[in-house]
Amino acid sequence: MSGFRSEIGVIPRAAWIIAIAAAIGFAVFLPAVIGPPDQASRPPGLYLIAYCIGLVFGAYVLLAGYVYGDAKRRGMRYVMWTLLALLIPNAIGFILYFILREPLMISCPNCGGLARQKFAFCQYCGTSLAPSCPHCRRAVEPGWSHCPDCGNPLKE
Amino acid sequence: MNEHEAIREILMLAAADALEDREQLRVERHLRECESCRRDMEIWRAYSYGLGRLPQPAVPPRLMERTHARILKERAEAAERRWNERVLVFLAVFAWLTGLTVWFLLRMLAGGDLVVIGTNLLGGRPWFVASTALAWSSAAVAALVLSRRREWRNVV
Amino acid sequence: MILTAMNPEELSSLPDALDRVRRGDPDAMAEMISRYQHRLYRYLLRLTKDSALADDLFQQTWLRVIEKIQRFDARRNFEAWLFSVAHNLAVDHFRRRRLESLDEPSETGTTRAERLTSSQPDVLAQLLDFERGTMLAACMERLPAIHREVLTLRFEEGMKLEEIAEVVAIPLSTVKSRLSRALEGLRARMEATPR
Repeated sequence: MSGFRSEIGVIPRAAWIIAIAAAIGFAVFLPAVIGPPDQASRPPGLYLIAYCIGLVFGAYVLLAGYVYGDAKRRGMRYVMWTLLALLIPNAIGFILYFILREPLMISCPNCGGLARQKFAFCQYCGTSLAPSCPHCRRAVEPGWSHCPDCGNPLKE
Repeated sequence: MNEHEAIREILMLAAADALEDREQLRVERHLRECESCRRDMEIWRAYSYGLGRLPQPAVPPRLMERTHARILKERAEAAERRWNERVLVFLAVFAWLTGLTVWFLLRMLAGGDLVVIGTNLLGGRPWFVASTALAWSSAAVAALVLSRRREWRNVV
Repeated sequence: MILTAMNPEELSSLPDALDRVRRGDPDAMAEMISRYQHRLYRYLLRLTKDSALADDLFQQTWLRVIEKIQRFDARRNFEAWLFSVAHNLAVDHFRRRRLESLDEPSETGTTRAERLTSSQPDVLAQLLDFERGTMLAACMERLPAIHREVLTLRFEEGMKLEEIAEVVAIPLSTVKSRLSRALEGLRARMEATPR
């Protein structure tokens, strides 16, 4: 279901462009900023360090792009989540996102509209998406004998 | 207990083909001589016959399809959980990497020291403490605000 | 003669089917479930007397089997393993609900004195009459679960005593004693039922 390739595809193209630009930019300009101004006296290790920093920065941007695209397809508030991921220091925001994200939406077999997995009925056309309690109509799972919300017995 | 009694104890097992050859022969030997045990044996044989021909229950509708679907669903969920675990490990490593990179970069740019309220913010320990505290507290605040708007869900 | 739902061709391709399931072939899995569905469902129904519960336990059995099939040694008896998984799930269920226990009989079985040997020809005729099988089934339902279990495994599944011992995880001698007590109890009930 969630293969690496399909997940990478979620990242918007803009994020790729920014990430690559930033990585190149860091690799090229950082040695000038943090090292001696003339090219001859810069240690070669400096370029390697600048390149690594550029990579980390690029990965950060790509991850933020992933949060943007992934939150969007899960029906979450994607702008807010992307900002959270970017601004919380030390990349903790990404961890928070992965722990709290909603499951993927499923498409209604009748009208094709996107609905959350926990819904018992499609919000656009009303077809049943999952077994539901006959009394309170909330979603239940097969194999249960009582509704966990209203307590009424379920008849299979 | 005499032979007759002993055989009567195991007659039903003989009718059920549940005895070893030795015991089976012993029963047959007794049956040749004992009329009442022969009658009893007929009855037990009838029971064995009847028990193999009970009315057969109808299998519930689409049992195979439902079972198959459930297996596939559980497999997909297990795969997704494993994937999520791997992503979280990567993110944890990335978080440390980001923290180190930012610290390193700031030190390079500021030329070594940044003194605030008497402590060097860019020294190893103060930076570690300050950035970790800031990261975790902002994440905690974000998580609290978010959780009040929706139910907690354990995705991991 | 004991009725089974298998035919000889299916038996010979069981190792192939197991292999295909191990490799992750989804059709092989569906085929496997179909192959045993009638027998496994019947066993669970006889054991639990509840069709919804038997349905759920059936699904859980296959979930567990598919999970562990990679580590299953193909030389072992697959059917005995399948039924033992089902047995264990049923035991867990009963233990959790604290209902009729599958470990101890709730009754000790009837004594020999309660058998009415004078009614022999009547009983014989009844048992051979196919429709009266329902009366036999009804009497069997009133037996304790562990007796129903050995009866169905021996007579409907046609399992040898050693296989039953493996499925139920009891020694061979206990299988024999349970079987004889089950048959005595069944006969006592049949003969005590007014006609």
